[in-house]
Amino acid sequence: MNERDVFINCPFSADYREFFEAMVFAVVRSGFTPRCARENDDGGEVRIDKIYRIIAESRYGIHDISKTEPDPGSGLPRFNMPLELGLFLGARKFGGKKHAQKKGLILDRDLHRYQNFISDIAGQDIHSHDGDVEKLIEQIAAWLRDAARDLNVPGGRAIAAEFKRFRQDLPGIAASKRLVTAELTFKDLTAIAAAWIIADSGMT
Amino acid sequence: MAKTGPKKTRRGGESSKLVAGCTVLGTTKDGVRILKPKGGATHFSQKELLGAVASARITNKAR
Repeated sequence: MNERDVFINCPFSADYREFFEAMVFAVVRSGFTPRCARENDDGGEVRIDKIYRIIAESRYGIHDISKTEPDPGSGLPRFNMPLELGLFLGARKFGGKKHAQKKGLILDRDLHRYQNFISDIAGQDIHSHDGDVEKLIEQIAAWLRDAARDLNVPGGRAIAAEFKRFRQDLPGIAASKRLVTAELTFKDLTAIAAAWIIADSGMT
Repeated sequence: MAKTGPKKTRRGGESSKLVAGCTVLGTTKDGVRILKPKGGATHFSQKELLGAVASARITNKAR
């Protein structure tokens, strides 16, 4: 288990893209390594095995369970986020001494909404982002600072201001390879965020 | 008897470039160590990435 790895469990839909980018940026800017099911396109690895492996390797987990609307195509809600949250909680419970140290942040749109659809998680560290990207970043930064006892994690509002400028630069960065931002992979996004933060800070 | 083998030397700053087994790419002015992501970018070489970031930042600053 890596002390600086943060498993990101969130929707990958187009309408959640800004939140996903914000999560990746906030984790990198706080001095941690984001991990997610999209980090490797190795077709040889079964998806659930990949998720097991990433959860096993991550000390921290950020789980956004806010997307409960039915999928427009199937008319059914996506259950991947609650499933992966369950795997993370299971690893913590049954994974022995080492995995008992895992810490997780659970995010929803409203603070008590989860009680209507996943009430068994009551008592976990549940926060709301109110569907607001800036608040999402603030929640992540404050939680990582506390959970990892890392006083170097910057303030959430400062990270959110940087993220706003990062997002303005992102289309130009993607365009340099004749891509649009939606085509950037998780690995692209993580590498770009790290390079941008270092360039923005003026330090190498 | 004390060991008298050749003294091992570290290359400059090597020990400070690892945090929890991760390579540190750089440290920000506020003291955060930015870690090297797992695996490289899909669409960019490291050189292309640095160039694209620098170019986009200059373009947006000029606006």
